[in-house]
Amino acid sequence: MIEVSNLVKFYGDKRALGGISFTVNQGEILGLLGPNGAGKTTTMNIITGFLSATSGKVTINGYDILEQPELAKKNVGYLPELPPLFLDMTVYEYLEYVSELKKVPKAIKKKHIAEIMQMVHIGNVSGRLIHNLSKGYRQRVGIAQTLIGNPEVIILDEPTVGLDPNQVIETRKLIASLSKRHTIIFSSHILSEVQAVCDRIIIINHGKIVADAPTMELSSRMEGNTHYLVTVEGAASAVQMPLRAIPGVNAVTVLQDKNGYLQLDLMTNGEMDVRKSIFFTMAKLHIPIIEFRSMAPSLEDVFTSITAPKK
Amino acid sequence: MFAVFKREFLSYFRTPVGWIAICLISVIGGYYYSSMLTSSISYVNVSAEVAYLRSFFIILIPIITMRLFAEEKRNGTDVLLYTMPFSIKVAVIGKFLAALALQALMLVSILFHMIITVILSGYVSSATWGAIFGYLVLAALFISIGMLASALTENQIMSAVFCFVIMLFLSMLSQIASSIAGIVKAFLKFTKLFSLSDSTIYSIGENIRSAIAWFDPYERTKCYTSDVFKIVPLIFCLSFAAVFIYITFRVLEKKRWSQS
Amino acid sequence: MAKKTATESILREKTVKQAKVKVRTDSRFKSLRSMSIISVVLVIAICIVANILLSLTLDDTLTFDTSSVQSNTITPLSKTYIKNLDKQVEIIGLFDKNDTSFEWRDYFLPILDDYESKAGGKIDLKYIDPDVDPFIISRLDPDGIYNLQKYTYVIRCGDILVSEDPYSCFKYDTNVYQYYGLLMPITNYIEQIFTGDIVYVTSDRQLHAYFLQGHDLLGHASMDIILKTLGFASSDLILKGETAKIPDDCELLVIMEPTTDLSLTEKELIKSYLDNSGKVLLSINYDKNKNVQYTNLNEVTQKMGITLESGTIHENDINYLYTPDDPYSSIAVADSSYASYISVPATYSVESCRFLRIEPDLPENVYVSPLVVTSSIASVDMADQSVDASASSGTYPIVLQSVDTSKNEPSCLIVISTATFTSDAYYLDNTLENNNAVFMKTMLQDICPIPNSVLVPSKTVPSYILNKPLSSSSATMWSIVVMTVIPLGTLICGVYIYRRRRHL
Repeated sequence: MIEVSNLVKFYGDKRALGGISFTVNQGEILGLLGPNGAGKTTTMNIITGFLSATSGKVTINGYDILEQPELAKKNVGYLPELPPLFLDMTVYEYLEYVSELKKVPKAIKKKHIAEIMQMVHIGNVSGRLIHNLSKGYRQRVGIAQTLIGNPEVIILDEPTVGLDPNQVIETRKLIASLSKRHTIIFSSHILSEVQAVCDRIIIINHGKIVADAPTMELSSRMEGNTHYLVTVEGAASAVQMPLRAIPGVNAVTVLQDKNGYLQLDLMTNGEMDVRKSIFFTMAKLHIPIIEFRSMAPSLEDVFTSITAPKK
Repeated sequence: MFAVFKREFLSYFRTPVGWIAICLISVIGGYYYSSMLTSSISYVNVSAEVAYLRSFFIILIPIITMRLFAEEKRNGTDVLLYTMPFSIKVAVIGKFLAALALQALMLVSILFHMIITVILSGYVSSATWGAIFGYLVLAALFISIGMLASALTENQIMSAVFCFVIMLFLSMLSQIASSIAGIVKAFLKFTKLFSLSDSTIYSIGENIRSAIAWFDPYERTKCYTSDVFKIVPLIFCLSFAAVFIYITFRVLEKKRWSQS
Repeated sequence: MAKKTATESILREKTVKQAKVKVRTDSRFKSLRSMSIISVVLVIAICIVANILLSLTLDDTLTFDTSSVQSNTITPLSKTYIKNLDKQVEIIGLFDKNDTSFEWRDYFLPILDDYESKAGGKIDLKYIDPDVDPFIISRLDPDGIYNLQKYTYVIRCGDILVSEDPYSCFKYDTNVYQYYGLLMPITNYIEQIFTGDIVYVTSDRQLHAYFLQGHDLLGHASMDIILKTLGFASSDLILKGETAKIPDDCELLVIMEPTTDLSLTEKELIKSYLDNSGKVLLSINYDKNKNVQYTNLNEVTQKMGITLESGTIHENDINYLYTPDDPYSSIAVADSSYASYISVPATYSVESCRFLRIEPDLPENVYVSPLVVTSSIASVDMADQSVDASASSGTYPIVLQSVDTSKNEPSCLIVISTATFTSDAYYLDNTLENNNAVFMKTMLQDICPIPNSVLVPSKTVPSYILNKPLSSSSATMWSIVVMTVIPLGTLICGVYIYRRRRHL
């Protein structure tokens, strides 16, 4: 479906991409994960033909984006980080404009737009000015725009940034529902989001692919380091030694020691579940556990765990 | 192309820009027209009004063209044009035609004035239509220049200023040509460089002047106002408009290969 | 924490290593870039070259006159003439072509371009600003006899040239001029005048003026120059002996200040010359020759209805006098009916004017008309004081024109009763551009017109003045409509749509 080979991009002397290659298959949801400035947006811009690469090749459905741009672009719907919305148009006018740009036949245009508006739940705002819409709605209009003309590939750049939690969940659901009909490339800097939505994850950092694996495999690999946040009522000296003694716990770091409450970060090797042992150890010491939760691994942790040699 | 044209043209009227431009030109034209009406002699020549309006290009064209690409770039909507399944050429032509259509629409007030003139038993000569034609031909050239200015920058104000400067330069081309010729003549005379005779120096200066003034679009399209229909100035304006449209296209298309 | 920084540094190291690998830019981008730049340069170059070629070759062919009276195109009459020109004609506008302060640009530029383009290279049209090229006037007119001015046209062929003032190429609306002081052209004579001028400068026929000798003619250099500007060559003529005759090519016979009467031979020859459509210019004052009896000369002039009296004009209107105590040196004015027929200066200086009497009974077909006259309260001092001829005060003629129309081509006699129109003595103190000289040029051009086989009809200038005059109240009403209704209409529309959409 999409083939990206050895993409390199320099901005002047600064290298943004250092040889990125991957392929996306039909029906896949691919997550591009990486911190800000890792090169996700650059990659997507190059795939959609909005930006040129310094070297490398992108083909979509067998069409080279540089040599046969029109045929290649026909199969792509793209939502950049900043949705390309005309604030002076109503939602319907905007979608009509996009469908005219995408050469949707006139006969089915109305029906097609109606379908899409229903799909992304913006039917109720179709007559409103985009300028007056909330961020969540604007994002959905942006997604609706990518769907016009039923392109096989949909590329979404950070579609959940800046949305409130409810909107994030809705957007994720929407993306998941789209996957039935479209191949999706989706970028984010939030691990959990990518994990939740994607079939496959590519992790990019400093313009290089750090990892490229199905979500399941990556998740299990990342479990190598699981962090727990534990708050207990007791002194550090009393707690640290017994906790470290628990098999599976690699490190104990004191995060906070205030008013008798001790906040600790426990790093485990993830091979065995240490939660029960922690509970019983603390119970034995009559130290009450006030708070106990597992912490989502930070991207740094992910990189560490992935780049670390496998045991 | 029609989609881009339609959106661009309607957007002039979705925002106040188009209305204000039409209002402005009808006030200026109306002022000129009513001063003709109220003149003691009742001399009413609409073609003179059209010729008068040409001198406001320098303000109107930058207003009309500054937003064409600069705004899209600033709002990030240019992505749409680049990622759609057609060449950016189409968008350039569509936008050009939209701005030209707005210019044409601005002349609606002239149409009213012509009707009023006929009602008042005045004379509307063929030169009036010629003047309108020349006006639009010249507008096409200037819009293409303004559009190029808009494509070169992300900032609308910068684009307008850039366009304004170019148009100012063009409108003063005759004077500039004369002064350049004057400088060359003075230089040759003063330095006695090739020990030329006065008349040779004069003819050198004259040739320089006419070579530069050859590009003056105002001068070239004046014939339409005086009831002479010439094809060559028409081709001149339209072909240079086409060149500027082409350069605009190349500037925008640069993104495909640009390394910066 | 320590671990985190360690990871970072590892990653950074990796990146640095990768960056050192030299990445070559894809050649496709380079070719696109060069193609783009080359194509832009090429397109610009092609456009400029094509336009230059086009304006050099087809500009004239692809020009159409859309005016209702074809005022920008020459008529077939002119076209046929200039197509068959065998001489090179120059038309030089003495101003900058782009000079907008020249009001009649729009009338002249297109039609003169048309002359140039239809002449097949025989007419060379140039615009030279005398302020930019100060030598142009001295090149065109080395002797300074044409008094060339900025904002005029010069039509030249070889040595012969004519200067045309654009303002005189129109007839203006006299009402408009009277009431508003504006020049509003109503008739356009441009083509008529310019074609006439081209015919004139290219015509092979050289006009000859002969100055009658033998009557103490002092010299006629000033008249020579005046005549030269009209295309005349001057020669002297002595009518003596049996073989004496007036040459066939004599277009104008000049008798200047004769101090003696004509001989019999001269009288007969001149009379028969006048019978055969001749033209005679006689200037005879009342100064050095008051006691001369001009019997034979009078016979000639009386044939044309004019008698030369032995008396002088006495100007009584103090406003017409230079000094109150000299009633014989005064200002004369152009006769009003003559001034309405042809554009001549209004006032002239005259002195020692001979009293000219118009015969009460004019011969058949002879018409005498005054061209220059005194004030209405002038009188006559007769030599023979006893005779109180017509001493009553009134308007007396200074210059008379008599025309005999009995022949196909009329004969004509001009009698000037003062020397201030012709003598070198007068022009020694006055330039050849003063009113007297201008009168001579205009008057002579009128009586000796260039036989013009090409007479182009004049063209009307469309009038933009409303047919029905607008009352000031309705003018105000319409002004309000155009100034407020239309702009406000669009503005209200705009505000309405903007406000409605804003709350969508």
